[in-house]
Amino acid sequence: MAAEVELLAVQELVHVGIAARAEEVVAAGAVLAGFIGLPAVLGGSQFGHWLEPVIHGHAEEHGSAAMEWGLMALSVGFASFGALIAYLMYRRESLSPAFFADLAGGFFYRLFDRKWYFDEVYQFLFVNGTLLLAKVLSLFDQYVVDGIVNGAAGVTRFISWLNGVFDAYIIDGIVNAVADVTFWIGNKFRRVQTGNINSYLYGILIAIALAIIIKIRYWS
Amino acid sequence: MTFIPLAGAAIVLVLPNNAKLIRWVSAAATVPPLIMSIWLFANFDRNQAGFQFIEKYQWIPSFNISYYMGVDGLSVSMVLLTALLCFLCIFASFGIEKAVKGYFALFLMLDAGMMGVFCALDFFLFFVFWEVMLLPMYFLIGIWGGPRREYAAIKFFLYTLFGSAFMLIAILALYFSTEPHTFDMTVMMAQANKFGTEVLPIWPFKQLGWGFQHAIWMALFIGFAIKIPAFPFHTWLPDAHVEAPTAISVILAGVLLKMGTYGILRINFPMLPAATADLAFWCLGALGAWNIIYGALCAMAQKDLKKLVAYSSVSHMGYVMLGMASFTTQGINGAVLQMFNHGTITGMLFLLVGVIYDRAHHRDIEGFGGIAAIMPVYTGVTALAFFASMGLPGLSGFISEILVLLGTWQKYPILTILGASGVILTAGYLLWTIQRVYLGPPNEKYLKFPEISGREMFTLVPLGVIVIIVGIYPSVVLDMLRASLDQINQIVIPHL
Amino acid sequence: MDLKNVGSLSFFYPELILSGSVLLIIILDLMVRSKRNLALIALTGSAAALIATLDLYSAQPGWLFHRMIVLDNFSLFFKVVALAAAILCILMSLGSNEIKHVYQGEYYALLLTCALGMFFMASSSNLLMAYLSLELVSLTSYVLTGFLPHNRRSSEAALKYLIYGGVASGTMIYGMSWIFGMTGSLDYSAIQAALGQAGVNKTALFIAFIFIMAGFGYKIVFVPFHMWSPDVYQGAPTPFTAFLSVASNAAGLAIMIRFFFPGVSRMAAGGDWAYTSGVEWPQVLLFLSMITMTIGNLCALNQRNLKRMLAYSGIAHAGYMLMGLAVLTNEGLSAILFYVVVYLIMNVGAFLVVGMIANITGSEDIENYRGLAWRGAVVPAACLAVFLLSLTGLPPFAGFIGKFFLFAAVLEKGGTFIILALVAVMNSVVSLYYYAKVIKTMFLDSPNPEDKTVAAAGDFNITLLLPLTVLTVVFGIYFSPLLRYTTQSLKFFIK
Repeated sequence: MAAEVELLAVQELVHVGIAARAEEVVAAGAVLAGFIGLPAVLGGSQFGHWLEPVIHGHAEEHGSAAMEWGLMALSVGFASFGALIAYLMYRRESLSPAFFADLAGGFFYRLFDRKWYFDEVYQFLFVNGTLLLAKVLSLFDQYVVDGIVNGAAGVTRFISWLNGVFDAYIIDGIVNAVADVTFWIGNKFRRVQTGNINSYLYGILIAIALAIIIKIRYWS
Repeated sequence: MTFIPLAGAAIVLVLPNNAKLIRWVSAAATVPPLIMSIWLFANFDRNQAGFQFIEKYQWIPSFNISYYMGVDGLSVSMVLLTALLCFLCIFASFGIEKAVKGYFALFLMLDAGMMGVFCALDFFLFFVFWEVMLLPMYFLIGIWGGPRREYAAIKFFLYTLFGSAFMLIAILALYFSTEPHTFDMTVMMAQANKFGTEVLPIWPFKQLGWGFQHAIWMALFIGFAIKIPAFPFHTWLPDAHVEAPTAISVILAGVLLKMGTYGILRINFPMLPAATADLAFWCLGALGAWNIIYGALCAMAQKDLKKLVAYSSVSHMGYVMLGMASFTTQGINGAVLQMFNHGTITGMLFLLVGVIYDRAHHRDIEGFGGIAAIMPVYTGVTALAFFASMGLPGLSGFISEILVLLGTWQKYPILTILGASGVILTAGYLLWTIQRVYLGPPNEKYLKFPEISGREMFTLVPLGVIVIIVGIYPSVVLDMLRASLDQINQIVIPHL
Repeated sequence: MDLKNVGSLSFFYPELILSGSVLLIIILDLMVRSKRNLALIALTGSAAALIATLDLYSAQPGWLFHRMIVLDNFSLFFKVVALAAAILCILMSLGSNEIKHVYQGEYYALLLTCALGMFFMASSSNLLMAYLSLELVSLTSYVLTGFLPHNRRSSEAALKYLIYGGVASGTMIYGMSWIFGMTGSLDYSAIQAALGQAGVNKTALFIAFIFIMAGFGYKIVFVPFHMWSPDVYQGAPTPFTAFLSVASNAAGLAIMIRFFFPGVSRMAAGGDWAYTSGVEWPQVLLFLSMITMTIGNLCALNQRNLKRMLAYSGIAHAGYMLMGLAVLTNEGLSAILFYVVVYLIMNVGAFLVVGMIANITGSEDIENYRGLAWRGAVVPAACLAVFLLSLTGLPPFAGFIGKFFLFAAVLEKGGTFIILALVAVMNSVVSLYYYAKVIKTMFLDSPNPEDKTVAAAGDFNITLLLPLTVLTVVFGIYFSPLLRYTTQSLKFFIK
């Protein structure tokens, strides 16, 4: 048990040590990299010179020498100031970090801690915004555009239903109506046959009389 | 070829009541016509436009009626279709249990009648065979059909007879107009220019500007239009198809419907060319385009699977009419190819509907679902048939439809546009039906369905193979048609 | 040739044989026990008369009995038809249950006398002879109609027939008297000559013809003189109904054709007939034909009794046959003759089946035929289907050929007759409905559980049924011999 705790502690130290070494390496690398892009007043960027044949000309613009010196001074000054504050806060501990952190109710601390809220702004503006646009467009596609398509199908289905009804009831209805009318007429004629011999004889009489009348009136 | 099935019918009638024996004897009776028709197909001279393999005997000399049979390109394709479908339908009829002897006897009689119609070259003979088909059909639908079979059968019978009545008058009128009086179709075709085209002075012919030839054309057209079926004479079709047993539906759709358009091409075109030229736009072209759209829309509204296929038949025959009206080579060849294709494709469709009806005993589209998971092989074949019906390239339906549309575009662009929109509607209802019946989660009721049986596959495979072959290499059929159809076309074109 | 009484006897053998059979039957009726023998005697007598008639074909045509009757191919044709109908009727009666209970001697004697009367109807060339023969046929028909004992329907039918027939023949003889008055003679050829001269009042002629038509029309059963037939056909014994529907129809046509064609029209050049000018024959016949067809078919649609339905269909067929008359051409007449033969076969066959089924089930209602094909009577049902479809006029049956010839004759004439053809064709379609209704009831309907099975296979009538069915189909396909026979029969003897 104790051995494992010791082991863990050693691992911690090793990790920290490795991290520290890593940091040292990175820091050294950063310093070296700076040499590539020296300002013109200090001899010009070797990297730029090296690339000249490719770019056919100067890779960078040149401002005035004074500006260059001023910029150099400004950037070095800021860095030194930061180093000094860090030395005072964390090495010598004469300045309290907590005091600065609580300045203005901790606002600045939070601002810097959250890297100027860039991540949140990005998240809100671009990520969520795109997602929202995507959602809107997809809804549009689903309901409006596709709605028109389905509507066309529905209209066609309605017309076809109408057609089916028309066919079944009207066209076919006419066919059946012809049959029914024929049947109805047949029924009417059938009733003339009364079974009563008197009416049969009247039938003869009427027929002959009609024939004679037609002949006399129309065909002479 | 015509009379072997008839002899078969006679043999079946005297056989004892052993169902298996009857079925196989009937199947045997349809094999010789099939073999003969294939022989005809192989030996037919493709380049000659006239009639070949002619048989002519005197029948009733005093009326100049002869027993005159012969084939040309148009007939050969139809004969082949008839022989094949009859042979396959015998096997599809193996499920019939009631009065097997009567069924097969009537079926063989029907077979004989159909062959006769396509081969007859004497008008009287043609009419006799035409009417002979009606009787067995009436009994076949009326006895072995569905719940409303009596209504459907008598409707079919009366409606078709009504059309035939007009045909009879036209036949007699043509008979009396030829010099010397004869029923011989070839003579009538030769004398086509003699049939008067002067305007008849009586109402309503005077108003319409019709002559004797036009009146005859209309009389014949009414008879044929009922068979095609053209709107508005088509209402017998949904009832007859729904109520008929499966094999009879296949014959009805596959062969009988073709007789209407066959008649128009064989009779109206060559014998009455002036009238054809005048009347074709409205009676064939516009009516055909309307058939396509109307049939497709009605099909979409159907809830019964068989009725849907019936209306799709109405729609597909519209393409035939449209192609005939175009008087171009592509149009007419496409029209007859569509006749042949429709026979095979719709034959497949009805057989497939029969397969599922045999298992579920209903044809309600909404009641099915997810059949693909239960019967995958069946669904595959169905998909083939549906896609062919839609006109998918690579399958035969595409070739004929595209030829028809190509041909019609040259003459009547508007009709072509209407026809093409029919393709979209067809795809609409067919795909929708596939979705409702075959795709989706399987319906628990039907999980136990057996897969498609060997016998059923046997009836479907030849048709499917033909559909694919004609789709890839349509010359197989088109070569046969071209010479004869062009000749028929040439007769009409001078009058346009 | 123009023979007196004695000389004519040698050409009179068929009639003599028939008369002899009648007397023999009446006498033997008193002596023999088994009444079937009487039927056999009647059969032999008719067969012998048939042979004698066929023998007469070789004889020279001419007048007999002082120009009372004429001997020519036309009359021989109708004699053959009448005898064929009589033979079939006797055979039917042998197998019928109805006839078993009647006085068979009188029955067969009257039947043969009726046939004899038809002989005279077909060969009469004198108005008086026409009237007498018509009366002979009518009187025997009245009695035979009412022959079923204790059957109210039969007696009622007979009485109606009697009264109606009496009035109709009375009208006819009145018209004949006018003709006699106008032309001065009863003999057809003399009438024709007299009408050819000017001076005859056309209106009076027309009216006289209308009166005569009443008599002929009642025999041939066309509208408006048809009203007796449904009741009579339904009430009479079935074998006799068959005989009546075919033979008296044919005889009526014979007498009408003979009167109106060689009698009062003239044969114009070219073989067609030219009617006496001023009398609008074609229009009257056209109208009568159309209305007869239509009313016959329409009334038949609603019938429930098969015999009554067949009566109305008979009226419709008379209408079709009148079409052939209306066109006044030889083709029309030959078509009528062809149709007469075909109609004989079809109608007798149909009534034969009706009789068979009535024998077994005792009813003639269509409802009774429900599911007949499934009740064991497939053969009669199929044969009835064949006969009914042939009556509709569907190929490949004989009825189609008959109608086809009639249509051909009408269309050949052309002109306004095309309307007649259209009406006729539409009527054929309508008639399909009621014929198909019977077929449907027999084949498509399933029998009710309480319907008895009909064991018709062993019935005597089947032996008669099958040849008739076969003939119906054969004549639909191969009819040249019959066609030749009928064309040949169109030779009238006129001077």
